[in-house]
Amino acid sequence: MDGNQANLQERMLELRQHFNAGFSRLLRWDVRAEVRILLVGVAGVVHALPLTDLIAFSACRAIITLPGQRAGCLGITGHGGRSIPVMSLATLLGMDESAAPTWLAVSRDAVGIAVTSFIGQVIVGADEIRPRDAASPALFAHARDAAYPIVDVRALTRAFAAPSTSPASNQS
Amino acid sequence: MLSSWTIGRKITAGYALSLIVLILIGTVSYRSVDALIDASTAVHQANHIQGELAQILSSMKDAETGQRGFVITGDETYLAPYLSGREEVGKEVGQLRELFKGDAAKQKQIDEAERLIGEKLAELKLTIETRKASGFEATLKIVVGGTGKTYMDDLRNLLGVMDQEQADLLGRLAVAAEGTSASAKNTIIAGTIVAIALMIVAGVIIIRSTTQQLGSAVHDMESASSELQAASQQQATGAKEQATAMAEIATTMNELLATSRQIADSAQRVAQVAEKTAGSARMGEQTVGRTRESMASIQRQVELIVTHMLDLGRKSQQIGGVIDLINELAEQTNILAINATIEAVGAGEAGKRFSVVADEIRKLADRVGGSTKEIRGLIEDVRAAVNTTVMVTEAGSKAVDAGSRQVVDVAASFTAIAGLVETTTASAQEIGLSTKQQTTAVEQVNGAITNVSQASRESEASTTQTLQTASQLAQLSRGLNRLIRD
Repeated sequence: MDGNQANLQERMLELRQHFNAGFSRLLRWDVRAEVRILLVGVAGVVHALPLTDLIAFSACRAIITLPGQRAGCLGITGHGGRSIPVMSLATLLGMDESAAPTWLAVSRDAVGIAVTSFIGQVIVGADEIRPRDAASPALFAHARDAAYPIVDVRALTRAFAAPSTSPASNQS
Repeated sequence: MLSSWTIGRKITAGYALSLIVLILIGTVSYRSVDALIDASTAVHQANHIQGELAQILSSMKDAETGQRGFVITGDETYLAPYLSGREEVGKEVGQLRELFKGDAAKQKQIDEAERLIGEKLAELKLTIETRKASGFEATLKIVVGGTGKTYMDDLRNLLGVMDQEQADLLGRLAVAAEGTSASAKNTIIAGTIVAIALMIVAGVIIIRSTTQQLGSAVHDMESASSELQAASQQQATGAKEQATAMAEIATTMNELLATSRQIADSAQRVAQVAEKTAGSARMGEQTVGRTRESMASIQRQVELIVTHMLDLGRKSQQIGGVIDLINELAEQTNILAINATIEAVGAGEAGKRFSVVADEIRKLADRVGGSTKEIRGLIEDVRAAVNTTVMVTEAGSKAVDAGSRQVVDVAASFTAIAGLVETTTASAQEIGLSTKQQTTAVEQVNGAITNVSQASRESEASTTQTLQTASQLAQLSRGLNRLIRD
């Protein structure tokens, strides 16, 4: 047995112990103390989407364009048995994005937000949601030794739904 | 015409002319002497005949004298002349007949003389017998009868005629001999004078023309002697140089002979080395053959390895596909966990437990995704290793191919080397044989050169002698020229 196989066995044992311990651990989840966010990529920049602002996250399916649709609107798509509008997060944030959207986050307002990449889900403490510096009020999620701008999904979808809206990102 | 004649021809012509004259003189003299001898013989015979005639007459006189003495004296002692005369006269008549043999007229005269002699002797015998028988008187009557006298006179006349004929003959012979002698004298004198004159003329002509020709010839000979002297000088110099060159050539040929022997030894050693090399080449060829078989086996193994590695690559690719599937499932699980979390968060306190489970599922999906990434990395490493191994193996296969070809080339090279070594061996042997033949030839040439060198030295000596002879000849030519010109 070489070193790699020994490490693998050790890792498997660790995973098994962690998995088994999950059933015996005390449930602890303080909604107010922890924030779950999704890290997505838009125009080469990773943004943070709070899970509390979403009702679903899936791969981007077929988007049907509509005649006379607004700028930033990619069209409509099916979700949960109904049609929802899909908007480009990059366009909404005023960023240039050449890549096609691959992932779709659905806001609580039933608006699809298309992003080009999915990084993952992280859980950060509430105190990790703060501005990056004192000069800017925009909030950032500090995780993995990095700071990710938090997208205000509600304000963004509301602005999209309003007749004339301006970008509602916290990004400065 | 004489100028074109050679000296020998001129001398021969002069001698021939003199000889002709001498032959003429000799012929005339011989004929004269022969005539004189014939005349002398005839004179001698005539004298002999005269002597015989005189002797016959004398014998007859003796017989008559004896008869007379007996008749007168009656003494028989007087008959001795008679008896001797009667006996001699027969012999003398026979001799006379012999002297006139072949002369019919003379033979008739001799017959007549013999008859007369017989008649006379018969008369003498009759008187003698009568004297004996009848005495003197009776005998005297017979004598007086004159018969005997007649016979005797006739005989005397006949013999006188014959003697006179011989005397006449002698006279004629004397005259003829004198003429012949005079003619011979004149001929000899005239011939001698003519011969002397001719010889003088011929001698003058021969001397003049010969002197002229000899002078020209001596002049030419003098020039030729000078040229011969110069040529001999050059030839002597050339012969000396040739002798020196031949000595150098002989030295060079000796060196060449030694070199040829060394080449022969070297060729023999080369042949031995080539034979050993041929043996090594054959062993190398066998070794290469075995190496070729090993290379073929290695090539088969390498091809098998390549096949297995390619199969391993395909299996790795299949594993990659499964890993993609697992990754896809993990991603979908992750998405489901996220959505479950979203639903749990939306459910508030009620979804708290479900949220924990969903979180664990998500974490598990994340780990699966991480593991699949690791597996993918390992698979990529395996594929890279497989690709590298395949490439290396293919490179090894190519190297084996190249090695096999090189081994084939090496085998061919060994075969070629073996052939070349055999050729080299044969060539070395041929070189050795040729060099031995060359050595023999060089030895023969060396011997020939030694002979030539000896001949050159002899030629040098001969040329020197020729030079001396040419000098002497030139000196002699000058002396002869002086003799001729003076």
